[in-house]
Amino acid sequence: MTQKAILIDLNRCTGCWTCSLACKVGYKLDSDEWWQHVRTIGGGGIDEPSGKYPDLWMKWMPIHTQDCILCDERTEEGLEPFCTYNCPSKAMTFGDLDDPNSPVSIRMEEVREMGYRIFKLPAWERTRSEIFYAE
Amino acid sequence: MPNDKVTYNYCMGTGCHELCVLTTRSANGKVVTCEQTVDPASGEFITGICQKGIVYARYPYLEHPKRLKYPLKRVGERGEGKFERISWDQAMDEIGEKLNKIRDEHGSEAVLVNNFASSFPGAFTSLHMPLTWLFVHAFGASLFPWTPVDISIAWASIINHGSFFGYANYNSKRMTKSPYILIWGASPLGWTMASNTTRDIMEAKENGAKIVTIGVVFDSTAALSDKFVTINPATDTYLALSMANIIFRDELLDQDFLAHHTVAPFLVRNDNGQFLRESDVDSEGDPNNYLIWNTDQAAPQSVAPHGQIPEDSAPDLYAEQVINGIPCSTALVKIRDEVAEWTPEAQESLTGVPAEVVEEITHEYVETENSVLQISAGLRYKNGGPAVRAAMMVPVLAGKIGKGESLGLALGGQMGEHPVTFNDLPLIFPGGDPTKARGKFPLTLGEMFEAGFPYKALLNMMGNPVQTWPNRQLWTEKILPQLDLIVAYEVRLSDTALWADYVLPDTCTLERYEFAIMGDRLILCEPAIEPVGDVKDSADFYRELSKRVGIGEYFEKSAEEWLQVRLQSPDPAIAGVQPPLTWERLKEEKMVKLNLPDELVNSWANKDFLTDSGKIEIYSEHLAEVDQAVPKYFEPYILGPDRTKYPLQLYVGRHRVFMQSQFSEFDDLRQIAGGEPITWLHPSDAAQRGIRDGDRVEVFNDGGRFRCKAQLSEKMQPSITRVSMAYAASDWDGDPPQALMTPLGVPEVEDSLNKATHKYCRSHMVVPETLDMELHIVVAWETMWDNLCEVRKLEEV
Repeated sequence: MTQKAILIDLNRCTGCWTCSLACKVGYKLDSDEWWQHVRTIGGGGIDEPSGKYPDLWMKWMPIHTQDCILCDERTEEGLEPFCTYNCPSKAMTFGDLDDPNSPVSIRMEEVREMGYRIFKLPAWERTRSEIFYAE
Repeated sequence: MPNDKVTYNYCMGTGCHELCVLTTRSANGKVVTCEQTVDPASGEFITGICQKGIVYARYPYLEHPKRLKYPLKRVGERGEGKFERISWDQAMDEIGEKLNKIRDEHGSEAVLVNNFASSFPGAFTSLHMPLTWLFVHAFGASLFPWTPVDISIAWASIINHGSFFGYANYNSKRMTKSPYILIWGASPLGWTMASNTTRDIMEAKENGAKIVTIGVVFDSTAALSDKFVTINPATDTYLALSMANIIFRDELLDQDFLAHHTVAPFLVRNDNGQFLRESDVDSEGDPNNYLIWNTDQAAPQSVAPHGQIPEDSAPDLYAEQVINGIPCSTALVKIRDEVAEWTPEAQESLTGVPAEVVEEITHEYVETENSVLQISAGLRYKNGGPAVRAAMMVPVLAGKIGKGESLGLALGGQMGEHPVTFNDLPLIFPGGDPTKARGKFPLTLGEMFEAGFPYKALLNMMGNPVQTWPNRQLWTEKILPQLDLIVAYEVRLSDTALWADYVLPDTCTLERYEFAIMGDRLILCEPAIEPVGDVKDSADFYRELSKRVGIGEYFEKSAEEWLQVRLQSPDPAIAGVQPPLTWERLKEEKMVKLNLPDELVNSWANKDFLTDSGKIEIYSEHLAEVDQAVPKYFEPYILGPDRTKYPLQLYVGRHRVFMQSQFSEFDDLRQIAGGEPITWLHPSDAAQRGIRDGDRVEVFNDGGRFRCKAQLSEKMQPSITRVSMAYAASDWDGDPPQALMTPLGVPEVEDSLNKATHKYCRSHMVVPETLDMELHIVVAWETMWDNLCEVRKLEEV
């Protein structure tokens, strides 16, 4: 059995949307079609913080919608998904959770040891269930 | 994939100085993807990619309506954008004829060439740069002064270190092991240095580094920092002087570093602020030699320019003496006395930074081993140069420069971190002979205007000055109308190209050959696809143009042939590669490890600095007559008396999904940026003007006015109005924001410090060596964020 997963380290995400655009370019999606996007956790809009200046807070959360195909063809060739491979800050790790030597299993262990919380989005968010978040 | 092809290509946007080389996959003559680059042989990571590089594959400026595919000749008014398609032969014949006529009637120097490299892919490593120099030198053209932006950091580094380019090469890998990163005048994280630098700083953060950002906008860098220190705009000098004050007060000075690597022990004449010279005390003495006070001998001791103070010598850093009747004190005393006033408490009401925060960040930065201060070009105010110079005193006084893995001070970005020298003389000088260089170098716009602007043609070979240099009217009303001929060589119909008489289509980086140096690798960039339409690369362009103006003999090579010339370098980094780094080997392997030491380059390793003294000139005698020998605050436009008329600061900045004016045409990126030009206002400023989120507003000052949607945001300080500089004039309802910006470098805005800088530049310029071009950057002051405006509501949503 293989259990494909992407672990997203929210402490490393800079909200740049490279992941979303790598997916869009890779799958030739229309301009208004996003299989994956980046949610700003803050004041609502993209890159809008919460709080009052200068006591502000903002993070980002890459969201893989159910349209995401986890780059099946690509990963079968031994490549990482577009989003994971191209993330400039190395916030994403892909692999097989059933294989303790796969990058995602190793990273999962690393972030656990650093005391990170690991979680998934609830089912009603209708996102890919293979996505884990660490922060 | 059928006909699958993999090539390496520069990203089309380079103003970030990350200089990413992307791995391009193409099939059936079309680009499929651009991705990050790893060495296929070793799996080693080479360069990352950001949202712009990724999207480049999708819109490789190939099918986009704004991509230029054919030569164009203007048929309407200048700036109107009406052109007809013509052939290369017609374009080159007509341009050549006009250039010959101008040269015959007004001299070759009446032809101006703009090659400001910012945002040109590959910048100094590109093939287009040396070939443009060659054209300038062979034709005898004048080079347009490089007075656009990034002045503050370049000016400060040239005054302090004698060079900017020589010290601005910082490999961000060095930051990964730093436990304390202080970011000032920069927004690297996910913003202006979104690729390797971001990756390395985020690695440091995971390793436990504390990241502190000093700034005015809460952007991604601020959000990812452990501490965001907000400072009143353009008051950074006070904060820096206060940090220096603390270093003196708490005896955190590195006396040994100051004594041997800076001018701190040099005696300064109290009467004129100049360094005391040997000839001041001894009529036989050398007028070049400086003097220090030797404590053991209780006598002055000579130090030659670039000379060493013996290790066992004991220079008195705090000497105050009367020598040969001349009262003197050391440069360090001058600095101590200057910063004495700026206690943490004294700066608080001016900067808005609490005294205890100044104490905290000063002690943390100075006392944390391997800490690093990253300063970039982000103090874009009239007083930004002295502000950066003041900030650079902190690592110097604390002896951090070049120390430890992090080197203590990171200037600028990764402008090609390894100083590898190609065999470029034959590409820069006619026949490879520097004595045949005929290029002219007007230093400032001021001197060009004072001379009656004796120019008749502009060849705009790089850059988009009409859109991205402040201010637009300087170009559209003062410079361009004086010219009989304007030629733009471009990949797209930029705002500058719209004003041209002839627009000639360049290749994009997916269609041409280049060399790239990434870390310790030389990478051969090759065309991923056939050039679209009828575009020509730089080598072909100059070959066609040069033969029409009588200098064809110097431009007979193709791009591939020029690269082979560049490779014939005696630099051991290239010549020492084993097996030998031949063109054939490079064509086969594409990416070859250069003969470089394993350790990362330390641009501070050579402590013989490029200043006159060879030391870090934290005290500059060149600026003594304008009272800036020790950096001082002076008033920027935004804090001047005009504030009553226009109470808001107009901050024209980058948007993180665009690269200056590039990429702003692409729908996917526009969606993320909000789809249209936006004015961001702080809710308190909006409330005072009855403006609600989404209302249509007008932003105006004496320079112009534009109308767009207002978005209320807490991310800027109150009284800042922020807009993106990325959008072309056609995107704006009204004047583009550049029209509202203070012009750079024109006589009306020059001050005494500019004049002192011009004098310094003239006396230090060794034309025709191209590195001296850095002296052309520093002849004006920044104005990008140093503008005032008012905003009024037009209609509700």
